[in-house]
Amino acid sequence: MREGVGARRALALTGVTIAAAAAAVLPGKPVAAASGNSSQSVTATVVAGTLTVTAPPAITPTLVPGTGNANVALGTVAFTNTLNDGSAWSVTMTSTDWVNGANAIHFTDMSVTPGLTLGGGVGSTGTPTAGTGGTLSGTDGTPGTTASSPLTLATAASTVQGVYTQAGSTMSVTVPGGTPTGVYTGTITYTITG
Amino acid sequence: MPSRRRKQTLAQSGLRRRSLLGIGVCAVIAGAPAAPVLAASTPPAAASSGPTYGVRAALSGKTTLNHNHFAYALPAGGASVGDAVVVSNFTAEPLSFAVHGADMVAATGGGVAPAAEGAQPHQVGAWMAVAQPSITVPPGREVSDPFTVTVPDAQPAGEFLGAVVVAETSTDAGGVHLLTRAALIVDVTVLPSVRLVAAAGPLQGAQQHDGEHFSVDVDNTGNVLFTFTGEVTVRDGSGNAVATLPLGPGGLYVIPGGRATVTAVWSGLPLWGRAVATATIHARVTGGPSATAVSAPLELGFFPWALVLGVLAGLVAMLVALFLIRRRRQSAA
Repeated sequence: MREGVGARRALALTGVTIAAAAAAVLPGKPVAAASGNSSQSVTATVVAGTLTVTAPPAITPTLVPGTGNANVALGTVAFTNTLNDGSAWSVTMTSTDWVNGANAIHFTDMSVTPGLTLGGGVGSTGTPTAGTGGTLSGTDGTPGTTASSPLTLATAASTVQGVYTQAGSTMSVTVPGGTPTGVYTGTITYTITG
Repeated sequence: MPSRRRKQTLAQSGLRRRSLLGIGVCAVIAGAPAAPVLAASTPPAAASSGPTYGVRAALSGKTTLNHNHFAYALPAGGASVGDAVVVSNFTAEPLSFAVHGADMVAATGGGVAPAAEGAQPHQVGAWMAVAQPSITVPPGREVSDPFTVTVPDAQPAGEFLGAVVVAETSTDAGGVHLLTRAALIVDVTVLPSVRLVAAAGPLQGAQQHDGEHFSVDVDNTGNVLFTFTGEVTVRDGSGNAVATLPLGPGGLYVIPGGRATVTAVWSGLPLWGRAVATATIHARVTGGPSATAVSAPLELGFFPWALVLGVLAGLVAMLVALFLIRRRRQSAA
């Protein structure tokens, strides 16, 4: 009787030994801890950054001939630079003439004041600097098609990284007296370069 | 209002788009100048809560990028390099873009920007050729758009800036063209003289469940950007080649002072024996010189440790069991 028990114990020990040896030399998948102290491994991957700009919705200002038509609100521009590329970057804008048939409001009659309210999203580092603004310039080859030279809305050092908004930008649009009434259309382009 | 007509047109044509892609201008000239100043009749809202698209260099994280930009040091006379820009669509709807090269211009107030859409390029923008000038990116996906930069024959040495421009596009009957652009700087240095020097190594290997994983660093210690291909050659103890493994990923370039790491996997390893592996890198400047670099040999040994240890463990266990059984019997006797 005792001999039988001893043999079973020996065989059981053999099984345990083989299992332990196998566990030691053969790769396997991790198993949940049986004790009360558990842990969770983490393998996090930070993906590549991106560069983008998002413009506000279209504007529909009502302009009066013979005046400067100041404070035309442009809305809030959002832009993102998370490239972390060690290089300074900038956000600019251009405008074409605003045209109605053969009539045009030239971009050289437009000036822009960049908004001074610059905010960063969660995790952003640093804050861009608003541009100084000015009058749009450039050679107007084809009114309504040719864009002005770019004007700086904001610049940032390489260490400024994240998601930002710029609010409060305005335009003044001088409409010469005698400009025919009507609907004038054009394009404002926002560009982020980095 | 044209802007409303445009929305209707887009909705009718099924071209559903986010409205915050650019800023269309629809100005009304009032007939009676009663008020001296009239601001926007409809205050514009803020931009959408998140970006709709984004751009980045395709080789980010795969090779050394100067400032993570497209930076190329190339000789004059037809040298070229291939690269790609990745355009991501963060929205739930497809977005279309125009992709092109452009010269860089200074902006009023201190910034820089690519030349305006439609402007004729004369320098770096003219050296660039984009594979797909128009792309549509599916919702939540990204598209890699290749391009080449080729330096003209008579181009004097120097550094020149341009950009690869990704402009979101739309067409509509109302004539309002809404536009935003994201531009990655392209920095081209045209060299007066070329010194192509490539270095490979050390070759490293690691045995994993699916085979021997090789990796090797490729360094550019010259002054010119090069592209390269490479392979790992494995020879047995007699010097016979038993495997030739191409190194990947392909299409990489290395800027001067930069490094790229390429890998290969040798599956179907022998159960035991010895082998020697070397990596060979073929570097070249398109339209220019080429060079070859060979890594130091890596000696490999194969032995079925798991099998042998398992058998040994089993034998030990059996011996222990026999010993215990015998002792029990002796005790019983």
